[in-house]
Amino acid sequence: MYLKDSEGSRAGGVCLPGKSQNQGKEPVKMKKKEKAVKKLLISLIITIASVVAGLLFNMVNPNGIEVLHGSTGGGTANMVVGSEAADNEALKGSPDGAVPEGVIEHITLEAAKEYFDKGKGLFVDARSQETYAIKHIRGAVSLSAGSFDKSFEEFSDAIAKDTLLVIYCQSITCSKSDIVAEKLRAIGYRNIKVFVGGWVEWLSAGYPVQGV
Amino acid sequence: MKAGQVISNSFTVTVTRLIVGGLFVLAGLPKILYPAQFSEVIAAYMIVPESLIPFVAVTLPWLELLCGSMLILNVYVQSNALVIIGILIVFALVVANNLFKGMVHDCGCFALPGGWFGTGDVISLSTVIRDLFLIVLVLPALLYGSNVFFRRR
Repeated sequence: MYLKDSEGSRAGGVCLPGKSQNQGKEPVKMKKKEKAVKKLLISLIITIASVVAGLLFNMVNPNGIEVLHGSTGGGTANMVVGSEAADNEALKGSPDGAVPEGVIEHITLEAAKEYFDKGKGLFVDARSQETYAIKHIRGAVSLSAGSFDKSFEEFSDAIAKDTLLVIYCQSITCSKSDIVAEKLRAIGYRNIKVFVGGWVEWLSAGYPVQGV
Repeated sequence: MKAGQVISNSFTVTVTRLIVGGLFVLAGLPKILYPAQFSEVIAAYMIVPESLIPFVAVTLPWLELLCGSMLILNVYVQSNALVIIGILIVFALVVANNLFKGMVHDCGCFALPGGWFGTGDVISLSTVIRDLFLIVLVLPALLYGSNVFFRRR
């Protein structure tokens, strides 16, 4: 079933002796070039089709994500998760520490580093335990979003409810830190910050990490 | 000559395109269903700019799925093989580059359906070797596959 094609490409590569050389060569060469261009073009069309399919499917996918979030690190910082009322209160509050109790505040890399330097706050790693084991922010404890329900009792026994918690996961696009933050709030923690830039920002800033 | 005969053999072409196509479909599907987890994996590679991560997370798995399924269905085999080789070369280079820099993170190459990404499977030298091996495996399809939409048998 492939014979036709392979014959064609072979004839294009090697000119059989005995054929009239001057007449035969040029058209074959042209044809070969045309074929190659066509193949490339189809590859390009396939790629574009995938992009379109991906973007369209993402709109209907229940697990879909926001593709065009124009805001980067700075934009999403200081965003507050919570009810609308809490939102408004938080906006009125002054930047340092005046966020009402029980509201989860999103903080930037700078703010996270400040807490880290002052030794204020406990860093909580919301990524999987395996990822935590490889490398994490120095001094962080692991409380994975996936196994939260199994391991939160141990956590809440060891850590006081008014401790300042700085929660992070992989990067700005991950939702694990928000999940863990919500669950911690539900079990009574009152001083929760989510470091939105997460592991990727921390690591690329060259700040202290530990692990194997 | 003998090696050439083996790779141009229609049996070889069929078997290799089915293997590679199947692997790409398996790799693409879970990523399509769970783009949030896949964007975490991409973020771990620290190659794609932050603002482009969601875009890549949404589109790259579809490229894997479409190319994989078209290889299986024997549709535009050569063009799809070309795209797959391109993807594999990029994967191999990126993983090799990160290993060289001493970064070890989730591979995110294959994921169990429904499971979290990168449970246990981190990048290593064998990831690069696997990619290179797959490149060799696509070569028969690239060189001798058919490049028409559907062919009557």
